[in-house]
Amino acid sequence: MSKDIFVFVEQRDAKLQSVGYELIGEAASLAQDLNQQVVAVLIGDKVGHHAEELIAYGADKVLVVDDPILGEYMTEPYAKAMTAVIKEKEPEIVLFGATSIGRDLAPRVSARIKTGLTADCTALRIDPETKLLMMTRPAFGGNLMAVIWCKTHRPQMATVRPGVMQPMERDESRKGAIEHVNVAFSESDKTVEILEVVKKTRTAADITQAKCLVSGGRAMGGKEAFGMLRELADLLGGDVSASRAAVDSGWLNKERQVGQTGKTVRPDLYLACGISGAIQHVAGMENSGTIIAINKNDTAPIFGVADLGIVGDLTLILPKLRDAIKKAREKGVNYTAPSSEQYVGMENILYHVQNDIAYLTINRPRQMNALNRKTLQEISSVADKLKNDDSIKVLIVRGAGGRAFVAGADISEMQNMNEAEGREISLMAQEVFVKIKELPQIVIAAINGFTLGGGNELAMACDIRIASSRAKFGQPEVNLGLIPGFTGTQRLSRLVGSGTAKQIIFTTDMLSAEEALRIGLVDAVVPPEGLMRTSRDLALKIMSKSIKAIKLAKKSINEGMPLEFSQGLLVENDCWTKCFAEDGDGYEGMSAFVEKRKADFSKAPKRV
Amino acid sequence: MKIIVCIKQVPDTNEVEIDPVTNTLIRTGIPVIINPDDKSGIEAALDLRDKVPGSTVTVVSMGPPQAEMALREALSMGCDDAILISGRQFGGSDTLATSTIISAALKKIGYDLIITGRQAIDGDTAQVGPQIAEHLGIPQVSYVEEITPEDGALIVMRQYEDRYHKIRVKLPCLLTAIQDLAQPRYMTVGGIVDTEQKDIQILDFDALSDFLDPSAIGLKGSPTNVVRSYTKEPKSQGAILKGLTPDEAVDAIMARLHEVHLI
Repeated sequence: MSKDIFVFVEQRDAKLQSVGYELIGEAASLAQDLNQQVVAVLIGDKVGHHAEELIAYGADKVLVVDDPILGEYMTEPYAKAMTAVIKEKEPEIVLFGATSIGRDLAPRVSARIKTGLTADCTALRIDPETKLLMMTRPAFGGNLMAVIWCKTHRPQMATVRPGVMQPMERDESRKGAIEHVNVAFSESDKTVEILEVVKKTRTAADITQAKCLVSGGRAMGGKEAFGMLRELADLLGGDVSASRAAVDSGWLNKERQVGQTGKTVRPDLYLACGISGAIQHVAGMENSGTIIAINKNDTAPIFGVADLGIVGDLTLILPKLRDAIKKAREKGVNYTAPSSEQYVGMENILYHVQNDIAYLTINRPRQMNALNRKTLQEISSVADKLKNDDSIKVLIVRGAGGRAFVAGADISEMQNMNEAEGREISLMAQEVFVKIKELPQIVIAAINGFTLGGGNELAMACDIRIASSRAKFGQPEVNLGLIPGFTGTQRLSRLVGSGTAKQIIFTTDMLSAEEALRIGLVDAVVPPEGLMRTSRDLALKIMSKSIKAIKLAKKSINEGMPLEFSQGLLVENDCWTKCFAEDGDGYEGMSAFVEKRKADFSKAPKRV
Repeated sequence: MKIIVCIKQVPDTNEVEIDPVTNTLIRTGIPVIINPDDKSGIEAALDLRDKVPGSTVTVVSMGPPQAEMALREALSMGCDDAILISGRQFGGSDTLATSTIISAALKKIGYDLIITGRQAIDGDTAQVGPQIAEHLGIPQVSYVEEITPEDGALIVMRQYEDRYHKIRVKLPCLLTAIQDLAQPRYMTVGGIVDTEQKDIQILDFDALSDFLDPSAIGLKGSPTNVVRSYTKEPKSQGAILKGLTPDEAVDAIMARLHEVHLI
């Protein structure tokens, strides 16, 4: 019976490549769903000393194949080693990085073992019912995403695109086993002969291969200014490119031109500096992963395709940006966004408004977005701001990082609290979550992953909960000698009934998204990739109605629920009456209905 | 030296568009081309033929009958003969099943050197070449960007992200070509006229049955299956920040770089 998730850990010159850590991080998440272990397979010459490092990054076990023949990569010796490991250990899943080594080795091994292999995956998950690995990969030049499985053959194998998955935080206290696997090599395994190893220095520019492009336009002002772009590109491990205007001015070679008459590029990051963004330029870069544009002119069309646009002066921003990246490279500083009208960033959350929808993102992905005091304070301050902001109608709450919505409260912070401090943190969290519930805005929780303890309590404070099929729910407090104390005992019992609430709290069993839907803990379940789209569509639909009526309906439900029925009816009557008030939307809505036209609630209502 | 070049006819993905209303791939009317990496492979093979007297270049493709067009183009570039592997039993094959079928055909045809493109632009898997080499039990060198013939062997440059390997590999072997390997020549008028006279040999299931296990090919013989496919979410407009101090602007950029794991 096959079991465990194996990761081929790539090394070059006995140095581990980052893709290995990324795959171990992803494997750990899959292993949790399967209740299996993560096994790192370390192949090379004198590489055994790296095993402990792999354990610190989350491997439960490390298999080491160490032999002089495995120094410089050659297909056959590596294929032999990997095949021997797979045949002996019978893994359930084997992951490789989609690098030029992984994409040479993995197909060779798959054909030898006679199992399936899915190339260049960008997402992996375990199907809750079949327990099969669902492998998502782009095709047709990234125009189409395909979900692939390997039903009957074992192991299930995939190569995974570097830079996509998240490594876990290094933790030296992690324990794991190290095992040396003996593979008998002979001279005949050298089916090719390496005559020479030539390390690459910077060769002829090929901007289409760059993972990151720092691109300059006419507003750079001159050839000298591109020196700064080169510095930035080097710091980011990328290359320099330019718009046609800059190339025509002779500031950079034609081979670095992006656009219709230049090259089409698709880097992970495209940093556009002083590029206005003519349609011919945009055609060459719009499919880049993340586009950041800096331009003085706030009407520059480049802002139409930018994920982040900065209206400002390049000559002031770029040197500071260079210094900041240098500092971050040296010290690993954690960066968060600044405050401004549209984009309020704090230490642990991000808040921004896009197309009139507000987004509050809990942004501690490495701690699975766990709620600590600071995070609660920041959520509270956003709620205070929203309370008096009529321009925002819908707020979407979500977790950063793909693995968790919020995986609970920050236990390390509460560990040593005394009675008074315990009471205080609960009162504070209750107050914040009541604030969220009482916001005049409609609050949608977009739930992507683990939603446990305080996370589930935050989700319940929202009006509507949309869950990814990958999400998991639970109240694990009693495991820690605690009870749900951030509104959980009250809200969960009111939402799903006291019997079900008690079952969830007493057993601490985790619920799948489907179970959560069945008991009414969430209101819809969608595929992971459709989560944000569904949440946005829901927000837009709500915003297209009479928002005044919707707010009154929310108020009537919220305030009436805890009351006795007849008292609730009084609240309803009161809210209904407000629809007929001077500033109510009732007149416009009903007039439009009678006049067979579309109601327009955006204008101030007028009574004839 | 008997050189085989494996090519694939692919839709030109630069021309692929998404229907803005249904958000699905528009599949009709997309031009088909010889996969670019494969075309470099053809050019490299023709170049080798010039350098090693007595060599021939056979171009092979697996696909529907329409793939004949790609083979005709290869003949017009100067390849000696062309073989189409085609049959309804082959439909729905994943990379493992495809490589099983192509390697069966290659066993029948015979070879000294096999060149495939590194990867096709429609599937981007880069798997079929190495899998063919494994089925045939011959060495492979992938990501090749330079080939020099030697007696009974080849000296090739193999590209990695951070280095090259200069490798000697004995024949028979399989190489996968990247676009930098060679700049493909154009079809010549003479070539196009000559091509009209040439027959394209078709290998169907019956022709390969001695080399093929029917349970290892087609949809049923494929370990992997597509469960579903979807188009990506259309890109929505991002945040535009005005009136920041340079320090705030830098913080905003750094936060985003951090979010996408670039710092």
